[in-house]
Amino acid sequence: MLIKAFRLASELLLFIVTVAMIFSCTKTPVDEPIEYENKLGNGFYVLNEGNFTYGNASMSYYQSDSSKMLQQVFYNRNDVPLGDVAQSMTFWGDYAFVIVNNSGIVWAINAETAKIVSKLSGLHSPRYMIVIDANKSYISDFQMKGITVVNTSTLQAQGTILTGKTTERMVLYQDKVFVANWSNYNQTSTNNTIQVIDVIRDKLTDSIVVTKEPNSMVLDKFGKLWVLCSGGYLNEEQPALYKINTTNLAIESVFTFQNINSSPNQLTINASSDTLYFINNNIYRMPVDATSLPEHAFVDRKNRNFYHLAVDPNTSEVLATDAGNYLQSGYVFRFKPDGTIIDSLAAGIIPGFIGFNRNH
Amino acid sequence: MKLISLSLLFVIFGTVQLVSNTAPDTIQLGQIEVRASAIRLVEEIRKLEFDSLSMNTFKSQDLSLMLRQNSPVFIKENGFGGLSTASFRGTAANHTVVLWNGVPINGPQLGQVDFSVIPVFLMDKVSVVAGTAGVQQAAGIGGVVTVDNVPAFGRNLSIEAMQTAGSFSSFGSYLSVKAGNEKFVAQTRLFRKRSENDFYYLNTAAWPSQEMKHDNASWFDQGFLQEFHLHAKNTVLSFASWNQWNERNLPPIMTNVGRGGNPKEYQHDAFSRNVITWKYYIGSLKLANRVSYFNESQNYYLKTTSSFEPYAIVTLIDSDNRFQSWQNNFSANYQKTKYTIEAAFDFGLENVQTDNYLENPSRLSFGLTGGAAFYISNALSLKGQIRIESVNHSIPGVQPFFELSYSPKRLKGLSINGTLGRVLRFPTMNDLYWFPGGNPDLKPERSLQSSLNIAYEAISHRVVSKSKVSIYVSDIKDWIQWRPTTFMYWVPENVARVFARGFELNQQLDFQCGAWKMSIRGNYAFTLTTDESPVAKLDNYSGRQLIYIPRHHGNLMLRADYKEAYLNINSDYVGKRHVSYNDDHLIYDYLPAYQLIGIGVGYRFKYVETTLKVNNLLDKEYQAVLWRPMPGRYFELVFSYKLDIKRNRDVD
Repeated sequence: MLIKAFRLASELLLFIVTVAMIFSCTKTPVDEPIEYENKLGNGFYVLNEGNFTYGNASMSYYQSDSSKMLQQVFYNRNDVPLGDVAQSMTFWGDYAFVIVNNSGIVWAINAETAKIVSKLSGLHSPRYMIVIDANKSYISDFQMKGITVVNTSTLQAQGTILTGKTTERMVLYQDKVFVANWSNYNQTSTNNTIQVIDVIRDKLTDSIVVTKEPNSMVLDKFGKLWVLCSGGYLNEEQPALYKINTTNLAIESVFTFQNINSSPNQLTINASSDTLYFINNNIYRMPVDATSLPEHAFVDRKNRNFYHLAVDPNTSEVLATDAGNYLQSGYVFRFKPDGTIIDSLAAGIIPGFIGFNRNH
Repeated sequence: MKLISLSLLFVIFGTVQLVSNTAPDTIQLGQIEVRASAIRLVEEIRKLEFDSLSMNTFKSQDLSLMLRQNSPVFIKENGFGGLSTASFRGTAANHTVVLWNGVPINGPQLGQVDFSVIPVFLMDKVSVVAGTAGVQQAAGIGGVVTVDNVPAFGRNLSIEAMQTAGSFSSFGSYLSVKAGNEKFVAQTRLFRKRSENDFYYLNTAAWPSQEMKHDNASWFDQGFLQEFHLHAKNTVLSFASWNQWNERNLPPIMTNVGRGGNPKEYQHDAFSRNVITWKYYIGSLKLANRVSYFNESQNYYLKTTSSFEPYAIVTLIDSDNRFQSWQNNFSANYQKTKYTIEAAFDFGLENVQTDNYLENPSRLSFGLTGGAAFYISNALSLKGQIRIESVNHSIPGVQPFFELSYSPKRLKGLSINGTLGRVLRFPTMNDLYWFPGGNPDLKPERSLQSSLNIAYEAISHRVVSKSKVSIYVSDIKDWIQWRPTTFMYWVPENVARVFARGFELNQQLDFQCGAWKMSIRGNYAFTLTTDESPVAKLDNYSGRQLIYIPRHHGNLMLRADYKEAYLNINSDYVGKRHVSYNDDHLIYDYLPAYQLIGIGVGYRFKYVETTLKVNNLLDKEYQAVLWRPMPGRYFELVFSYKLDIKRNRDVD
């Protein structure tokens, strides 16, 4: 009887192996070793946010000389993952600061090699960093009602500027930092203001009321602050674009979007600071001296899911990321200054912030 | 008491009963099982029932470990003692229905069940059926896990106590007291278990990589299950009340351990699940009614404080979710030697209170099932069933099911069975009402599924061998998927069309060789599950395996008993899992396969049994979920004491 049982088991095993072979005849990808030179060369960084709580953020780098997009640059050069939700980059001298939102960290890397120099941890939900000088930088936060002050050179935390609201994008103009209060997540404070911080005294000095959810800001060549507001994620208000006088803080112009269900975002500006770009499903372009919002798209969305936007300061090419379905690698689309497409480059999961190393 | 009175009132005045009973009806009369004969409504061939060997081996464990190591079901574990969900045949966690004494315990909000908080000690019988077609319940699409409390009538007093102690300051205390006679039996089961869960692991996400303690990961579960069963003439009346409190701290993933604010994050769950079952047997007719009332709550808490002065509260989330549900099942079953006819009617009411919806919704559901099974010839039987189901007055969904079984008389022990059916799964409350994003216009998911099942059983006085092979295919349309929008929140849509196919193997072998008793249990599942919707084709990920579902997984358990001593070796293998729809060559896009081995040795004394278990014997580093650390080698010591006093006062 034991022999019978053994025979039965053997036959079963044979059956398993045979069927498994039939079902598993699929192509196996081959990993090719990638060798990197020390310097990344001319080009731009792409931060791939990754999925929230997955810890799968990554960094890509486009080498313009070879027209290649390098993937997993941070991991490959440092043997450590970037973290959970890579939010933004800030360049300062030879260094770049990479803000990783849900990991609560800021990596300081060599901007030319992407190798880690230092790390600041212990932050809540950092979003953006702005360098005031060698001794001072501000880091905005999605959860903390304030701004973290750090020493730029040592990356040591120095304290907090209380703002009473969570903070998002920041713009430095002379001795003021303008801070957008974008989110009202888990707080009762309103999210329709631009706060003004005195960088000498590290104090909140003023605020300007705008439309709900000011999500992005830029300075133009006249020193005017442009603020793009989505109107709230529940479409509570008409989305609007503001032009603000940075000296007396007066609102000089308001351009209102007619469709309350639209959600314009990603306001950016070209290197000469005379032309605005933003995403509102399509990509739009608008001179800073325009008297109305553009009627026609600069680039049609088609079947793309435009997520982040940047203008190459060296080439004036317009770069837009496509987050796709958020579960697989997205793309970076490059457009000429006239809006015609150049190419599309595969990036990582949820490609977001695009950063230029101006030292190149 | 109030609850019991309410339930009784509901039974007496609310309804007249005739109902559905998905699980095979089994009552224990003393030590003898009385089973319904004739044609069974859920074929044995499609069911995997855990035998006493498995139940005893995993008695000090939770259900997730038993399923992981002893069934073809894939368990996704978020850490040691963390959230564990089950996935059948390439489907999602909320496609797995769990029936406790015949009542679904899937919560209305997420629709899934955490198997890590179901102690095996509380249950008498556990079985799994893959593919829900043919089940007379509101069902999922993947499969059904049934956990039952079975009455054992007879004049006796039975006491069982168990104490466990293990690595990471893990302790468990269990007590069961059962008393009764031929007419009445009462049983109380209590348990309490906790773990600091503070193992050390190598954090490869830290810079530089370093050994770290698993912080903020402790858990504490306690609860009791009370049963009363009354047996009078042709009637069996049962009441069961399962009450439990689970407290679980939520540790950060490995990339987020440096996050500031000294986060305190936890989840506390509490539930009271109560069911009254009435069964009446008259000749070939069985009438049954089951009424249940569940009251469950969940609290999620997150607090962080400023990392720098003035150390103020930065984040404070204190979110409560509660629900109450009434469910009723009526069934009538008429069995003769050549045929079986059944009819069932069920209805339920669910109320949810939560901060996460704009309003507190209610949901009313109705289901009507009718079916018949008969022998075409001595070897061939055919079953047909149709279920009509409606939720909140939606257009009723029709779910037909057919099953053909063949047992050739010339080849004793061989059974061949084929099924074809259509199953619906209605959206969860979160799918419909979550704010922002909930989509009240969602349709039910629709699955057309078919399977071919072959079983062979060879029994002699020394060897018992049971082999099963199942080949299946499912086409699931309108699969609900949460997708991003331009408004920074996600919205569920009926976009995916999942094509799941594969096969499962199950082998049981028991044999005796002198004083040695050997048992082998093995399972293997091959699963191909892909989204073939137009959206997936457009986004270029059709044909790729769904996230977190391995193509290959399996397990093997070997047990050798020599007189009163025994040795148990188990191993489970989980193949590569995708964590995105990317190609495999990028890191984080997949988790590598792993194989774990555990070993246990034990000895039975007269009343006492002691076992030492070593889990993850080879101290394997692995991740079941991306960046969730898992423990290396760890130990567990189990002492159990069991006393049975029968009516003649003999102690055995």
